[in-house]
Amino acid sequence: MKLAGIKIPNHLSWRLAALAILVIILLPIVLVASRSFMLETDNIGHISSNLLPLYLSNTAILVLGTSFVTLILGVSTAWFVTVYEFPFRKVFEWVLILPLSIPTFINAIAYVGLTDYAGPIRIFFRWIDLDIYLDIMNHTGAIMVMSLVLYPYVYITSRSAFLLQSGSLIEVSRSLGQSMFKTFSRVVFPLAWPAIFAGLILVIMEVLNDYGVVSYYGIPTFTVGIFRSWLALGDLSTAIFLSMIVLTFVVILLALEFRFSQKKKVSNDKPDAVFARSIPKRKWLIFLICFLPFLFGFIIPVCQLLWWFYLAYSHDVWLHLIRLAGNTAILGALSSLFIVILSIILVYTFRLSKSNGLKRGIAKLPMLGYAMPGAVIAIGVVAMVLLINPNLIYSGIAALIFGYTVRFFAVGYGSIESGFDKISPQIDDAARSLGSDTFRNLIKIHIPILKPVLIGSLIMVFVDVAKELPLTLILRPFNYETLATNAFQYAKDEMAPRAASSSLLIIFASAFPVYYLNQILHRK
Amino acid sequence: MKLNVNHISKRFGNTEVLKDVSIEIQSGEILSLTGESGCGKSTLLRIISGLETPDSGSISLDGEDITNWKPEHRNFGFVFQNLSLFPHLSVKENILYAIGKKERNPDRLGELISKTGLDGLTNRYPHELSGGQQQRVAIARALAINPRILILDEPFSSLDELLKAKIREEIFDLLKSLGITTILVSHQATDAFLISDKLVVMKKGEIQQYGKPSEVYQNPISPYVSDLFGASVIFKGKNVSANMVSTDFGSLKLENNRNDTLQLFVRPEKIEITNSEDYNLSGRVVKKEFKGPHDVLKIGNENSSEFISLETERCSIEVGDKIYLRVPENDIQIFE
Repeated sequence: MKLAGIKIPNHLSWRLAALAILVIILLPIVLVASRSFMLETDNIGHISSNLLPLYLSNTAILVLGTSFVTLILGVSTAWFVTVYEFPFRKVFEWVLILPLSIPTFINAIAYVGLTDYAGPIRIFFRWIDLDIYLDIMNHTGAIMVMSLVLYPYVYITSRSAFLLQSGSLIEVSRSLGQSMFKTFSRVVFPLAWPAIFAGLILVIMEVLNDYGVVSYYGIPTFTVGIFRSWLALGDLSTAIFLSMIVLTFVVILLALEFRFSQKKKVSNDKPDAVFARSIPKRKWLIFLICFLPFLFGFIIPVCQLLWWFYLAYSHDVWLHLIRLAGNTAILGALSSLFIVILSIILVYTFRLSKSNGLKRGIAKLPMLGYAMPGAVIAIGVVAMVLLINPNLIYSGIAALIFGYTVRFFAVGYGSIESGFDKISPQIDDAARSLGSDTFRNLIKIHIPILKPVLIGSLIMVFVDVAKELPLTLILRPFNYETLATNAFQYAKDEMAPRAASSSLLIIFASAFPVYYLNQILHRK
Repeated sequence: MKLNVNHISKRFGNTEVLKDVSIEIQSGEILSLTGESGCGKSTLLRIISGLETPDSGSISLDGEDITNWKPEHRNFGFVFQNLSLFPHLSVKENILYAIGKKERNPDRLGELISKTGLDGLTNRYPHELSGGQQQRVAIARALAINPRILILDEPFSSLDELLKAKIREEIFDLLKSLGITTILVSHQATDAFLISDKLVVMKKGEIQQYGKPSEVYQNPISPYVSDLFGASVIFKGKNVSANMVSTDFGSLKLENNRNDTLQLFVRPEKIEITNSEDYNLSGRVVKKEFKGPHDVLKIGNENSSEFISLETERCSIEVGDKIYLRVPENDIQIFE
């Protein structure tokens, strides 16, 4: 029976818009996956027998190495900051996140500068009549420079897991005669493992995504292979073949994470973080353990860059720098705006339609791009552009912005989704009962309420775009430079000091959302 | 074994949570700490177990000063308010948590399991257990270390009301049968005085009263202590002469030499309602509430704005009836 004047809302226009967005966002990934079934190239035979083992072993060494080092740095510092009272503890809570503002390849460049012939360490050695050759451009060096700026991912997730754990679990274990160390290894760590693993996955994704460090240090990994196949050989099939292997690995990782989070055992105790922090006997040792990652992950590389900046600033063509910053800002602003608008439409549509298991699954799909290495997405975008215009040689800035949108969609989408979740559905009903339609509701009610979340998302996406290297290198138009590509190019051309100005600009812009991240952590 | 708490004081910022608190507990005794929330009882418990350090004062065990011992070295079994079972470990693993691999023997586990009535549940996880079962696992886990003292912090507050009475009885029977020195914290004096050998009533960081539960119940030293045990009937009185106090409901013969105005506390079960005019207090029933097995009478008086509420068995008294109250003068507590 249909009542006069009452239409059951099916929100058709919203659904169509959401469907279109989903299809476009997922197309590059789908293209990479589907094209792998129809590869047509002679290079694949050569690559699989000669290069694949090398790519595989190099990638594996870097992934395992950085996982190991970031786990140790991230988990230990998070644990100390949470349960012990020691000098400057409160400051460490947030400065330990700061290294995250340095892109891995910039850290790599800074450390090469520190340890090469003209760097302060070698100068000091020669001064004491000792010439030691310090080579960090190898696996160990790459693992260290990446770990020093990536450990905050593990630190952040471990710390919030420790904070959410009930303090009385720690206390009960101690009252049962177990030391702090045993308590940590038998209770705290197993319970926090799903969260720690989630942070570790972000580290692994960054390592898989990295092109700057490995190409600068001359370590051929999968990303390097993808670059060579496409940019040097113009061989899309091989690029897709290699991308597929990385993609498979990523999917396995995500499946593992899903499994861990399913098995997560939650204590029904309420979190009571207000337990007494114990004052350790060796509080200065703990201070040192927390200070070293910050020293090597932030202070030292930033000082090196500042020193280079001092050496080279007279050479810096300011106008050129302004143009680079302008390019970066335009890319960042447009991509973040796209992501935020499209995310709002998607999330709002999911909100309007009744939720069920399938929809909840679909709602997670746009997050996929963040898990994919930039080079893989770039190859997908190239495949898509070639589909539209097979004669295109270089793609324009639109393809680049589209690439960013796919790659960083999850950053904006995730926070907007959780922002919407916090608005009670009764508000929608109340507005509808007052005769307001869905579009008006969105503009007049949801968007104003979500303003802080939206601004936060814009900033986070902007910074991620500014730091991005591999995707930019593949998709940028000819001679189009951003701060990141410029810094990378100078470093590759052995003119590292001139990379300093661009690098410092990226770092200072990134320090903002690091602060923002810390605020979020505190609100939890 | 003897535990002494000597002149403990503790501040958090500007608030003084404990002021010069001293307690003694003998081997095998069950001691209850009670008081309104925020009175410092939990902090005292945490100091005894080593989870907090006092600002001044000391804790000694058989004369040895243990104030600075870490919690893990004290060997005090602590059962937390929210139980804090390890969610990733089974019942068996929770209980064996503190026992080293070499020292584990099936007899010991079996003994703990049967003592706490957990037979058949050893392979379950905490979330698969009922509230009462979780409670018993927490106690079994604390007992596994052969504690010198068993400490229970608000053991019943996390249970839902319906189960509380049943589980309380089970746990009390268990504690009694164990014969272990026990400190029990409860904000409800009814829990506390049911089983303990000694009762400590705290208020604002200080000990108000300390003694056998029956003594404290019979002779509370302040309205606060009296109130903790639940409903008391309170009359406001005026001192007429050295052995006479007048209230709005009549006069009572009471020896006293206190101030002009005072409060008289009587346990409700001591008051007898009659309609014979022999007794000295009288009033009129203004309201009668049906409360299942019993009635509650609200009693007022023409010359008073005060009311008293009295729980009685089902009775035939109706609203408007005049009734007389027999109050044994020996059972009246006088507070200023």
